[in-house]
Amino acid sequence: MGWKKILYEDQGVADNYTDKSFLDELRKNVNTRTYEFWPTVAESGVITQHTSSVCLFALAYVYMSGSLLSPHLVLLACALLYLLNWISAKERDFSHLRMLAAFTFSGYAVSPVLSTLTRSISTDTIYAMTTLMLLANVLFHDYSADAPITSQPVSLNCGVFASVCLASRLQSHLHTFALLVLAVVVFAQRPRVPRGKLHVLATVLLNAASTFLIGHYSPLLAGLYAVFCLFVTFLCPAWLISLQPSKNTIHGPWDEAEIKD
Amino acid sequence: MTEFQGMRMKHNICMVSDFFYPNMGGVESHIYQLAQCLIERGHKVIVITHMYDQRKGVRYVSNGLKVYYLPFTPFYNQNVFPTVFTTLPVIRAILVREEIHIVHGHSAFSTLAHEAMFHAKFLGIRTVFTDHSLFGFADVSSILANKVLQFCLSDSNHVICVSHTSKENTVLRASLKPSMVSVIPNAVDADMFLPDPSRRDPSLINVVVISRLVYRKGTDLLGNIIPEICKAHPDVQFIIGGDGPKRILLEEVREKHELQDRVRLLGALDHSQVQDVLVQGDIFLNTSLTEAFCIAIVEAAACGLHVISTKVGGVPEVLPADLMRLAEPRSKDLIQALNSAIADCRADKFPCPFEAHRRVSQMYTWHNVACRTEVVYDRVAQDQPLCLTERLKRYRECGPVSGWLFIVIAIVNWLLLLTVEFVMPRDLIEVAPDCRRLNNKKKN
Repeated sequence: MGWKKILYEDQGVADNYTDKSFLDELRKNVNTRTYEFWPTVAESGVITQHTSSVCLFALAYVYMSGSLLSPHLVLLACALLYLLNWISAKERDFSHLRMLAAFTFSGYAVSPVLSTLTRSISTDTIYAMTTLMLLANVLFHDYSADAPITSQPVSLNCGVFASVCLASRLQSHLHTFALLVLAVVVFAQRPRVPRGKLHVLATVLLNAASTFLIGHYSPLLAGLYAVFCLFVTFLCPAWLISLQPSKNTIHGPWDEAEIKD
Repeated sequence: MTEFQGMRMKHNICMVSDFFYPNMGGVESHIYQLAQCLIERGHKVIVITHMYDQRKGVRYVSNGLKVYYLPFTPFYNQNVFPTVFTTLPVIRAILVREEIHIVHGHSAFSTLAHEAMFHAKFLGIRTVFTDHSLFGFADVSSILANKVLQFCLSDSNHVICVSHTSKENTVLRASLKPSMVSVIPNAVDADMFLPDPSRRDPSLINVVVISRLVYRKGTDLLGNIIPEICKAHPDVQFIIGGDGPKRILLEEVREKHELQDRVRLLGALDHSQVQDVLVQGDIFLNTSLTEAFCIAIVEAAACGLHVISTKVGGVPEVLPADLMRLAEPRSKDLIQALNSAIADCRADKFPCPFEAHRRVSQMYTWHNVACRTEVVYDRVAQDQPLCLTERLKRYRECGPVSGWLFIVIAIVNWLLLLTVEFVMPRDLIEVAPDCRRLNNKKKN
């Protein structure tokens, strides 16, 4: 009779005896995925799309406060985006439209209050808070990945806070309202782009637009942002794929069971 | 060095852990029972632990077991704050005073055990470690804990695990040589768990569950099973002992399905009340999601109950197939196992409770554990203690970054030890009298 993995019988061997079946039930890398370069590059677009949208939001503030951009244009752009999303949506949801209407009207009603809200706070504080909040928004945003660091509520709250900070610095009620609507589009209700060629096109357009518009304001920052985009889009997937072979997860009978019902 | 009494070596052993009396639990009773058995076999055993409320200083528990309650308050999860260096003077004083040859640390969660073993190595004392639990590898807390364990065990003399699965787990976590790990199971005091079939209700089938009501112990699975079983079998009742954050879940299940008269929640039980609750049952149900050994099922089997358990960790190794039924940790499989057990119970196919008790009482005894632990001590006593440079080399192998950190900690501790030796020289430390040996000598 061979050695059995039991404790209730004395099998006549020393206590530190190690059978040849030791670690037989060890499994390595059970749930690992293999990644391919181009699909991963296309997927990285989720991140750059969001960062570019946040950049465009900040740029909208810069241009509106410099009177280079009319609030009417911003409102029109947002309306067009929604219309496009509405047309291409598979299910027409009227409750969604009702909610949108509620946001729009209440936002318009609140804009006069908002535009003078932070008059007593120094501009430096406002800009510092906004930068911090937008960074937090980008960091905690849920890029449709199950990571412990993403937190949709934290990200949304930071975005809303940043937009309130910025909106309160603009010159008129209409400007404030326009920025608020843009904030809702960027942080809360971003139109969903389906995966595929449209997704890649949207990524390229957004990145190019934000880099170009930053460049109009500061070429150095545009250069840095372009480098960041290239890093995230091409370098990070390559890095991830080069690290995959060294993945070494250990599974065995000692693992805590997962309740799968 | 070690005395020889007759043919056997006698050792002076120091058990260290954060978990000891007056706390009641698996590790606590393991240390206490093992110490008692070793004292019976003629060794000198002391216990070092941290203070509990106002209990500080030296206390004696039964049989002259000396316990040092060190004045360090528990910080988190009943462990002292890990400072490494502040425990050196007092632990050195105790180990020198009591002329300890072997330090035996218990439980990977216990910071005091790791620190005491670390300091013992600088004093040339052999170290043994017993691991009582299973750990994962993937989350941050496990990674850090495993690194600490690797550091602690890289220059230890021997490791004891409570099951074969636990041995595999510990070997992987701390990168140990398998020949350095012994498998010595836990034991149960069978005289405290006698069957009493007269306490059972012949018209009902009672399913007993005694565990902490936490996620790890599978209380969610229990909550899924109870309504199904109660619906399918009108004569089945549940007796649930124990408390915890998931108690509310069971109370909700009971409310929702109106099972107030069929599910009894007894709340937290004293260890002395456990046998009383167990003998009222026919079947014992264990739904843990992970267990290194699971002493609860052995206690239940000793009381003559038929055991149903999830097939996790070291549980399949503990009892033979006719005393225990295993099921995958899924509601469906557990319900199926319960159904077949209930059918067998009705058909009277379970082994006789007294026969089961007799078998279990012979499988796991503290006397057996003490003998096997003694074998480990004898082996360890023959080992040459490692010099500092050899130990530093072993720390270096722990990892490219952590290796250097461990080396720095070791060197600082060594310098601190030199300072302490200068301030409180070894020959000025008064050796504590061993009352038992003095008594024995007087008798002889």
